[in-house]
Amino acid sequence: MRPILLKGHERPLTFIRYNREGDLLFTCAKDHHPTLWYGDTGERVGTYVGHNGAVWTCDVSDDSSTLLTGSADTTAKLWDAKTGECYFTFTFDQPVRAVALAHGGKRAAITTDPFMGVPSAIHIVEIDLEDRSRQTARVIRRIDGPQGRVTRVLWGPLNRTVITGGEDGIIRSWDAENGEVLKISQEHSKQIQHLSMSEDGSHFISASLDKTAKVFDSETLECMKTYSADRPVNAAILSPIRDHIVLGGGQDAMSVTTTSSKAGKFDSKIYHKIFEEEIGGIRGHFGPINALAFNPDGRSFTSGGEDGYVRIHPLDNSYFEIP
Amino acid sequence: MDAIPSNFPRDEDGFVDWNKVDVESVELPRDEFERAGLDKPVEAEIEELKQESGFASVIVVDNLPMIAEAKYAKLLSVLTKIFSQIGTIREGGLLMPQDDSKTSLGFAFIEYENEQQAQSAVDQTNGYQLDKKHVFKVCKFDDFEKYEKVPDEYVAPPPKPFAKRENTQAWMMDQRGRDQFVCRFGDETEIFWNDPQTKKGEDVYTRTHWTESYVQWSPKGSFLATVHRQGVALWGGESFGRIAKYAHNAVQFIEFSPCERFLATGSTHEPSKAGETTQVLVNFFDTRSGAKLRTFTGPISDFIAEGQQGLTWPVFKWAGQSNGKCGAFFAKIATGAISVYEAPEMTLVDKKSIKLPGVVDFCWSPADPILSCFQPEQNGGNVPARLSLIGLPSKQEVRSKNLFNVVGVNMHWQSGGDYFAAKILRTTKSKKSTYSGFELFRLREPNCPMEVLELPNKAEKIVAFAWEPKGHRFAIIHGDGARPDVSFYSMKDKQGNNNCTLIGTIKNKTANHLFWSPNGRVVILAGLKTMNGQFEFFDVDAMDTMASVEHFMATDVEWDPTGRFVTTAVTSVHQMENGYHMWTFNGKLLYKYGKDRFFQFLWRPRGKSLLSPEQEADIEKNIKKYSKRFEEIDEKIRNEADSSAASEKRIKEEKWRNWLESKKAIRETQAYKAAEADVVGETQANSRKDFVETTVIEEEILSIVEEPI
Amino acid sequence: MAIKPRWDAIDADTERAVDARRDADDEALSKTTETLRSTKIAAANGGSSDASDLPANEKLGPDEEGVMTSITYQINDAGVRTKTVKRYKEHEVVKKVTPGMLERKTWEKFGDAKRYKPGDESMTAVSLEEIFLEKTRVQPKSELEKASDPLAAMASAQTSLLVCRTCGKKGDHWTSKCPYKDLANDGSKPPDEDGAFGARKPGGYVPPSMRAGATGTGASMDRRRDENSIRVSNLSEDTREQDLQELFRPFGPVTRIYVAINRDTGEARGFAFVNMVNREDGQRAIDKLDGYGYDNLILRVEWAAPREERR
Repeated sequence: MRPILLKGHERPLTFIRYNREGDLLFTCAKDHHPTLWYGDTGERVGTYVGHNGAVWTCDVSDDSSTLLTGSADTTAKLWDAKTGECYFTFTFDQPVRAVALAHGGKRAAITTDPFMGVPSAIHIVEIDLEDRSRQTARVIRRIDGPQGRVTRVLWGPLNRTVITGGEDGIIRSWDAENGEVLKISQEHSKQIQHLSMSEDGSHFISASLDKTAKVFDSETLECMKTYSADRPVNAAILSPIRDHIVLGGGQDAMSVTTTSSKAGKFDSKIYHKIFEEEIGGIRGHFGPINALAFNPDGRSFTSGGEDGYVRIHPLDNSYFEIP
Repeated sequence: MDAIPSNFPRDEDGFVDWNKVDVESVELPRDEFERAGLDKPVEAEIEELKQESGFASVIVVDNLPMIAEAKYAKLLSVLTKIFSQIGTIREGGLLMPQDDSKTSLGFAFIEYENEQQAQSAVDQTNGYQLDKKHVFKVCKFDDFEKYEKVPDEYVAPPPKPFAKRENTQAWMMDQRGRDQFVCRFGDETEIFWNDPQTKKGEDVYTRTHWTESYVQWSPKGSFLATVHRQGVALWGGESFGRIAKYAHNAVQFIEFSPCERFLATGSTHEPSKAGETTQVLVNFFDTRSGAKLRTFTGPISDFIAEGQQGLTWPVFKWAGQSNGKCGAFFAKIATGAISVYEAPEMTLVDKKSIKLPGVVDFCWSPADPILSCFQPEQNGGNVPARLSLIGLPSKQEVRSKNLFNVVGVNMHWQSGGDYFAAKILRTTKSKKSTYSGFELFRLREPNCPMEVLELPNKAEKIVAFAWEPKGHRFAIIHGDGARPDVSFYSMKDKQGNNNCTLIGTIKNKTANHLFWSPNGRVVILAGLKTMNGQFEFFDVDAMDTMASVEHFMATDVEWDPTGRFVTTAVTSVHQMENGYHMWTFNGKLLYKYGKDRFFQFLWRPRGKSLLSPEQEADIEKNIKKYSKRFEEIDEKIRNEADSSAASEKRIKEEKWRNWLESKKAIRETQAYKAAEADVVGETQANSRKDFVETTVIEEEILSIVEEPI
Repeated sequence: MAIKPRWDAIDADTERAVDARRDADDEALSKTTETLRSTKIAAANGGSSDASDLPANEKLGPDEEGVMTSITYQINDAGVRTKTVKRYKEHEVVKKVTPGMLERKTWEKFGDAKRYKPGDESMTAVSLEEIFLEKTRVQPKSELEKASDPLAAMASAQTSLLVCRTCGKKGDHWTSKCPYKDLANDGSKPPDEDGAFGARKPGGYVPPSMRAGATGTGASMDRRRDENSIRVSNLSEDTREQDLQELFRPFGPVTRIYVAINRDTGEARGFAFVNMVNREDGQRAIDKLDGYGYDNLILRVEWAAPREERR
């Protein structure tokens, strides 16, 4: 397999997402410019210029027309995906850590970090994809989150709930209407870095610094599977077509005592989703892997690392032969 | 416990009325032992302490002539004379009652000073023929009652219910032909199967505090013996239940006969008083019945050769038996003689020992009743040193050789008794240095011919010597440096003639011990102790090293009885890293097991094969057929570990699918679909329906090379 | 496989692409590439004067095995003029597309991508190396714990295997010095490479170039060596071949070890090259040993830079 290397970001990657069909790839990094690439060739299409801080997260509408990004500069921006123009900015008091468009794209959840005693918050806003001029910054509901920061937010089935994971390692599902905590899961012992929903919305996977990734039922938050890794896990994703998961992570560069920067030994690990067994690994990054995304067609996945590189991994027969 | 007997006269208020106490009727308190309530040792066959009736030292002599008064005094003096020889008769202790007519009743009571004398008297005078008509019948007074109770009719004792004994050979029936071994770690004794497929020891039996000092297998592996304060216990069968126990207080050593029928237990007892010598006590038991057949006891000098200091065990060495018969010879060395006994009679062969002045060492052939012994120079050099092979029971010399200037001799028998080697260390004429040579005896040839072998460098130190089991070869480690050489010799030359020839020498090996595989052909050149556990697996047929491995600080090497596996172990001699490594015969490491305070590792021996030589040859011919079957079994076992995992997987998968299905079912419901359409705008199933298939050219990149120009 | 499909303009009703149309678009796409390139050249012209005389790109093939060769010339982001030779095979693959996907393919560049900068071409690059899915060995749990770290196993057992794995011979030589060192598998019969090895008879004549320790002549030897060459740096001064042999042996058979020695002092210059027989073994060795504390120094272990790239 020959991965395609994308060297567009100067700073560590923070987030990667494909559009619904998988032909567009959006990458966010600590440099301020989220970038759009073609998912098949890796050719860079453009960058979204406007943020003044690290871009932590993004989400794209189902029709691939609109991009929503969240940044450390305390804003969340709506962009025209095609032209790169930012047409709306939500401004908050704290850095925006996670964004997620609801099913159907009419709403979005935007989370902000805690600051000076103010806890983290989940802001539910309305998104008008049809008429952008009608977009307002109105927050339908503001949910006060936990004390620690919320690193990822997902919309539950039928948009009835939002599910968050964060610094305290606790996964919570909130009622999207009234903001009540419906369920809590305390399976992880350290910060949750990433949450990723399955194709059908029935389960999601979490990645945690406690060196595990876990699969949960989206309704009950019951922990169904656990995958043990030998490194803190920064990202975990579910294959849309096979019973596999991919996880990536690694020690923070500063805490690594070796000068192994040239070795390229940080790898993405593939596990069998049901048997929780490690199948194999794909290496190549020169630093910890911070972000992962599966192409919706299941035939490739993309990883983004601390080293600023994005690698599109097309999967070949050696992968598909695995039972 | 009442110190004052209850039958003492008491007042109303319960106090003893001392005035009324009859001093004469006061009985002395019972034995100290009983009063103090000393615990009886568990499982010991210590005889129950007899109550002292006060008559323990009294004997009854019956069948005396009934004589008239006139002869009474004469008879009395005759009795006195006889019985006072055995012990001291108490004053007034001889009582020969008479009837009214002053005729003696025909019996007498004699009281000795103590019970032992009384017992001696019984032993020695019972059956003494006084005259034609009178034969003494003597017994102890206390036993009298016992004899009285013997019924006139002989009633056969009821048969004890048959307690089914376990099959002590059960382990040999293992389908996969595995061998067992026992380990002692700390207080635990564990028995394992050596399983090369699962690459670990499979636990058979574990017991804590099973033994008080050490354990030992019987020579054919039927039993495991444990040593305790009170004696020895044998355990066996599938569940390792106790088969038998033998009482021997403070036993220190045990030795089985090769046929397992007899067990010798020995102990030494330090003298309690200065000036006395250490006593040695050896008991021989019949293993099956538990009966004590004979006891040997005496000062240590009876059991060691002249000039030796301490007792070396085994004191009694058993002769080997190749014929499978079980009348065994065993022998011990004493000053100037070797005493050979025969089991099960436990008597000296020909009722006397073999006189060998100055004999210092002897050794049995493992297969035949032939012993080799060595007598150093006597008489200031007038009588040369002598090495002899003596056959039993004839006590004829099979072969002997006189030697001069001998410093020491080491004796080595080959496993089948075919060959015997003696390493002779001699001094040179000037007595300044020593050199070594070997006397090799061929036992299977008529007249037991002898050959002398000297190494090219005679003055070299011989580090080790070992015969190849079941073979014609032997290995010698020789050399003065840190890395000696190893030479291999064969007793047959290339043409098969009986000529001792050098096969080859390999130089500079870190080895100081030789461990041949029990089937021969493979030998481990081991560097123990100062060489820190280096092992070389050497194939003598190919004269090639198969593997060179290391087990740091290993102290012991043990081959399994089949020669397939070998263990190197670090015992508690060292503080750290105790444990054993299991290797295949060609030096591949199978697995390791580490645990601290590792004391013993012993493979369970196998008994002799029940197959005839023809059957064995037949199997060897068809080995492929058999091996295929076993390969399959092995493969299955290897996968079984995984197949349990496989079924686990199936369960997991099913569970997951069911869960997915249940979730899907919910999504399919009308209510859900309606809600979905409402909230999301379209259902998932309907989305992306506008996919169109098209053919596209894809590139499969074979290579990309970039270079500057 | 690198996926580089070329999109055709498709009629929404048809389900399969038409060859003619495909060729037409083939041309269109290559025109775009050309435009891009000439834009780059034009831009580069402002800076470097080399761009204009870059030779034209070539596309050759297919040869008898269906292999196409594409040769492109460009200036990489370091400003170096490079020639890239790409050998590939073309496959027809059925793909699903939506009109939306087709539409998005026509989007124009925006943001930072709007203005071409030198080096943009190499922003997207197909990896020069093939990356393999390294399968985790499935073992029974008991073995897993034991064998998971060959380094730990090595460290604890302190084995000093004097076995030459390539020819199975024992005792007198390391694998790297084995006369039969070009064998890939241990225990198997040596293939009749170059005829010089022939039977496994020790003492048979072996030509000097094939002998153990030969410094090697012949391109074939070189290439073999270089492809799986691992560079080990930050070695201590007294590190020798034997030490590295022991270090790498657990990962697989080693064909050659070269420790850079200072001729005068006899000390190691701090780096060495190790050639493993199997690349996967080498990869594993790199994974495990890079950063490994050895003799109080932290090793740096990586694939050696290919000969061609060394100046």
